[in-house]
Amino acid sequence: MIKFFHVNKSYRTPGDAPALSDVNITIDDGEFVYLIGPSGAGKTTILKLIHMEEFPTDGEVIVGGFTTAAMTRKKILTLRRRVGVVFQDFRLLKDRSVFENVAFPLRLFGEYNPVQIQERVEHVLNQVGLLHKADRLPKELSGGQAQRVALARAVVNHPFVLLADEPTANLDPKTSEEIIQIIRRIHAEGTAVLLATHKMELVYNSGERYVRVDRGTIVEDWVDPLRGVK
Amino acid sequence: MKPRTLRYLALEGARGLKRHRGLTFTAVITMTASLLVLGVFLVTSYNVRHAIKNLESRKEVMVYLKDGLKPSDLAMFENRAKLHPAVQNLTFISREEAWNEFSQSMKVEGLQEAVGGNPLPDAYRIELKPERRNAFTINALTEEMSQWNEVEEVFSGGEWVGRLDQFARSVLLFTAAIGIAIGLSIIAIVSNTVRLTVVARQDLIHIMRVVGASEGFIRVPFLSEGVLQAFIAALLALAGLYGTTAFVSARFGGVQFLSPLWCFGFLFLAVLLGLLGSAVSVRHVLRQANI
Repeated sequence: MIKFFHVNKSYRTPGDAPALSDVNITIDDGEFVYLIGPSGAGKTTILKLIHMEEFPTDGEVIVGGFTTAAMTRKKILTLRRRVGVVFQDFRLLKDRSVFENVAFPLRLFGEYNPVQIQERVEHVLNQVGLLHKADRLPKELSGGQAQRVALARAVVNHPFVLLADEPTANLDPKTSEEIIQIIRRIHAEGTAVLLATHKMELVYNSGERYVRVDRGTIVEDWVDPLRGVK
Repeated sequence: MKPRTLRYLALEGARGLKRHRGLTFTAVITMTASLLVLGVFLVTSYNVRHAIKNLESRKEVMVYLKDGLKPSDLAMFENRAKLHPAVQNLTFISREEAWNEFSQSMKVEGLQEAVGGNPLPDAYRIELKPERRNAFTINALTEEMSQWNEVEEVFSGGEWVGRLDQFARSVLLFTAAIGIAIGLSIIAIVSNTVRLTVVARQDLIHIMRVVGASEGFIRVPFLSEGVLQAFIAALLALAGLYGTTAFVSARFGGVQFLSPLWCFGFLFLAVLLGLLGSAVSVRHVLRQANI
């Protein structure tokens, strides 16, 4: 579960408007939530607070049992290993193959042996439909394929939540739709998803909950009234 | 950190050299050039030190004896001299031996007849203990032995020894100052070179941060890469230095290459510089990234 309690966030530039003002949100385990709003509204700041790259100026953020009020460096690292993140610009390691990009988080912590890594990476690459590109380098992939690799890397470590920061911003509508379908499949397997986007058309007909942010405040938190009834 | 992880991260550094061949090439060449400068300095100071040591071994005292001494007088002199704390060894040179040596060096036939007999006295060549080969001890010993009954004259080249001591001290200070200056420049060059390789790979650092890698995790591949680059550069510099020394020695003679211990010290120093350079650079990038 993710909870924001009266969160304010100001960056250090004097005279600037606060990035977030009195934000209160609750995202349940396994929930799918769109975070929408124009550029500069505060969407990325909300994601960074969940990932604890940033800390609130006031208020408290609780993520999967970790609270910003009592975080240590060690706890932040533990939290990050349980949160998957994808970015607008994919951020793949350009000098290694698709397989190695996805295997990277698994290799880093030494919790899996090579056979387990092989199985797990093949599983997630299959999930995003890129098993046949396992040996390719990122430069040989299209934008949509690169984002699918980034998604595979984000979920390879079984995160409880996937944070997606404008994952379709650089993609055409058809590819965007494919990416959203993959994220939906990841969600269907039990991972909560918080997807930040400024593409309202992706959201309004989806039937999923959305939280609209504008100038650092939550201006709308819409949940389908028939959710759970359908 | 689990052994499997440490192995993976250390190997990441080695793979990094291969993945970024261009960057590695530039870094290794820059480091090799800097280390070569350090190497030239080390070879020069090594040879100067060697020359000074050689000269110091020649710091000896010649004691010329009075004429007509009995063997018992010589034995008494020897016993007293051997008991002196500064004396390591003494060699008796009879007047005949001295004359032979002298006449051979002069290469003139019938010299003895010309000067009307052998005018040289018996003598002792006194070798000093290495730690006592300084102007102060030599002057004191000269003065002391001049008072002994058996002694006609003592020659030590006291002024020459004083000058040599002063020269050795100046050389030591000069090489220390130059060595520190070169060392600092090399730290700056190596550190900046490694920093280039680190900065060029900020994406790796960022992704490691995002997936929850600690600073320790992030550092290991860069440290191992920095160490490997410095090691390769040091080996190349040593090879270049060996070739240059051999060439100069064959051409002009007398130049020695570094001893194995100095070579080992050189490699160790280079690796340490690579390690420090990468540690400082990664720390800097991590602070800047502030993720």
